[in-house]
Amino acid sequence: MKIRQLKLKNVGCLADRTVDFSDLTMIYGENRSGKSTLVYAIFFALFGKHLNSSLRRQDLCRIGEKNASFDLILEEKGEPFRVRRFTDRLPRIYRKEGEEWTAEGGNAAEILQKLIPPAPETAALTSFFRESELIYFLQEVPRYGKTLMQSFIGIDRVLILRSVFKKAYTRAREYRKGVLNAAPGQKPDPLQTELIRRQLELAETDLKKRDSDYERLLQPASDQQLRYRMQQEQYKEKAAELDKLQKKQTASLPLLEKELKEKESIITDAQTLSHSLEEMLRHTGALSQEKRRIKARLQKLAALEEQGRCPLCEHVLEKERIKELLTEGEKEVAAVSARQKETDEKLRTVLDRKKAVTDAREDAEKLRRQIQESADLEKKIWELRQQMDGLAAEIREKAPDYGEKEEKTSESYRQKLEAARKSLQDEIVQHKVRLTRNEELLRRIRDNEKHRAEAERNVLICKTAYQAMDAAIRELGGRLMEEVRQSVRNWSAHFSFLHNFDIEISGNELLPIIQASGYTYKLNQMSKSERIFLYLMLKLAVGDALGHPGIFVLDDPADGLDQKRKQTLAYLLREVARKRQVIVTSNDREFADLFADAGCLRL
Amino acid sequence: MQKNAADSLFSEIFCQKVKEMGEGEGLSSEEQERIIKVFRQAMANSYMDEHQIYRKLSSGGGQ
Repeated sequence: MKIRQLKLKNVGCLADRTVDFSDLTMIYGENRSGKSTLVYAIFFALFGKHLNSSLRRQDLCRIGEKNASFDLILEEKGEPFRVRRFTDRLPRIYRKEGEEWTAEGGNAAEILQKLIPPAPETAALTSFFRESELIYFLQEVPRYGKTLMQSFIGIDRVLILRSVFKKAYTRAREYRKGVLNAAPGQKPDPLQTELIRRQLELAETDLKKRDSDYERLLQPASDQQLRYRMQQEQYKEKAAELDKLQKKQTASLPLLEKELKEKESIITDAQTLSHSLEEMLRHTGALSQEKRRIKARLQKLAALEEQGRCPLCEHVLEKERIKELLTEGEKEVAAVSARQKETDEKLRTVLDRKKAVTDAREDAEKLRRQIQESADLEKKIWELRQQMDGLAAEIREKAPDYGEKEEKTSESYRQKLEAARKSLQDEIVQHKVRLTRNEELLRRIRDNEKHRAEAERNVLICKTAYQAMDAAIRELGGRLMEEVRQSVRNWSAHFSFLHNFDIEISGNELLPIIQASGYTYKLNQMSKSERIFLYLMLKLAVGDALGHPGIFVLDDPADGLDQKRKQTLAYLLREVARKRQVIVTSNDREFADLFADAGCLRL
Repeated sequence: MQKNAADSLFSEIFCQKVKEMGEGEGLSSEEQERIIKVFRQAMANSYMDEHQIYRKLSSGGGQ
């Protein structure tokens, strides 16, 4: 690839400038004339980045301008193409068709990557000679902690890649550790599992039988069976009734009858008593009449005693006689009263007895009712017993046919059967849970073993990948160094003043060994001109080893060289121009004149 | 114009190392090819992280 033309607009101190390039182009300019800006512009036009990694693309813009444009015409194998880059936009690519430039379709960045394949970092290392870089390029202590060798091979990217593969390997090991940790703590005992399985089978068989019995239980009974069941129910009902009646039967019948007889004996005297009462009442009446009669005679006697004469005949009456009569009459009254009192006593007694008879009658009536009720109860009890005996006889007779069956259809049997079924169902559930748990555990163990095998394999793959990368990085240094050494040997023919120039590899670090006039130099013993030539040669050699875009741009390489060295450098650059396009800048007039026959441009 | 020789050389060495070490570790040719394929993808895509690499390297698709 060769650069043919670069048009710049608003780039640094170059407001609007077009530069044409030949295979060897000398760009001369005073200090601050834009030589380094031009070198930066070439790099940006090719790779879209600032050559100085510490600067931004906006730093390329002219002061006061927001953007800058770079229009680069390149030639690849005789075919021209054009790249337009901007500090604030995506690039555009053009192909020449006839006299016209036609824009390329597609992703410009990808197309450019194919057209200009070296990475910008590699190109900066192998194709751009900068005095500012020279300051640290050959330092014994590498800049940013990188050795020169590491800078050559772009070790950053490779080391990052190795780090990522190492992390992937770590991740694989972590995953394996996780799988190992996730392994079930204990393995189920196969004998125990088999035992549970058998217990389950037994329980299922038993339950099947119980279910069958239960189904039969639920089937409707036959007429005979229903009759048998009804008779049993009747028997139970009657037994209950009998029990109830027996509880009602508080007193025994003979006792009641005896009591009734006693009461009736009291009632038997009632007739006699009634006659006595009438007699006594009559007697009492007679006594009362007698008493009244006597009292009336006594009143008459008392009146006669007062008058002293008979009211009829006016005959004078003897008072003595009247008094005697009165006394007799009073004695009679007293006698009648005594008799009346005695009669009253007797009457009271009779009345008491009559009341006792009346009570006895009531009691007897009550007893008769009780006796009747008791007799009825006994009759009922007897009848019930008769019925129960009949039923019992029938039940006993039918028991051989239906008894057992009936026993199995009884409520207690049904409850027993249901309890047994529930217990079996619970047992089956428990066995199934244990079996499922064991099977789940076994499945987890199998899965874990599978995952562990996969994890082991993944660890092995990741480990191999990481170790292969590590070994490749270690070998890469040596292999690259060999290529660099070969390139150095090829180029050293042009650097005749450096006798037996070689490089040494120490811990993947490239150390230049310079022997001049039989004396081995170390870096800190080298003069500036020697450093410049060594830097130049290493750039060329590394470029051949690592790849370059086909150009070699040198920014003021002759600074600090004496005239002889300037001539040597000019000679060398002409030699380089045979292999690569060379663009060199300088503020040294004498050095620029050495390229008078080549393309020389003044800024 | 030359390609980036370091990348090509690195790829070449890596492939060679994978074959050597893979044979030693008993990896199948399919697994060796998988490592090389992942390596090339990682070289082309600098944004690939360890999770992606692990997933692509692992046989079961990774976790």
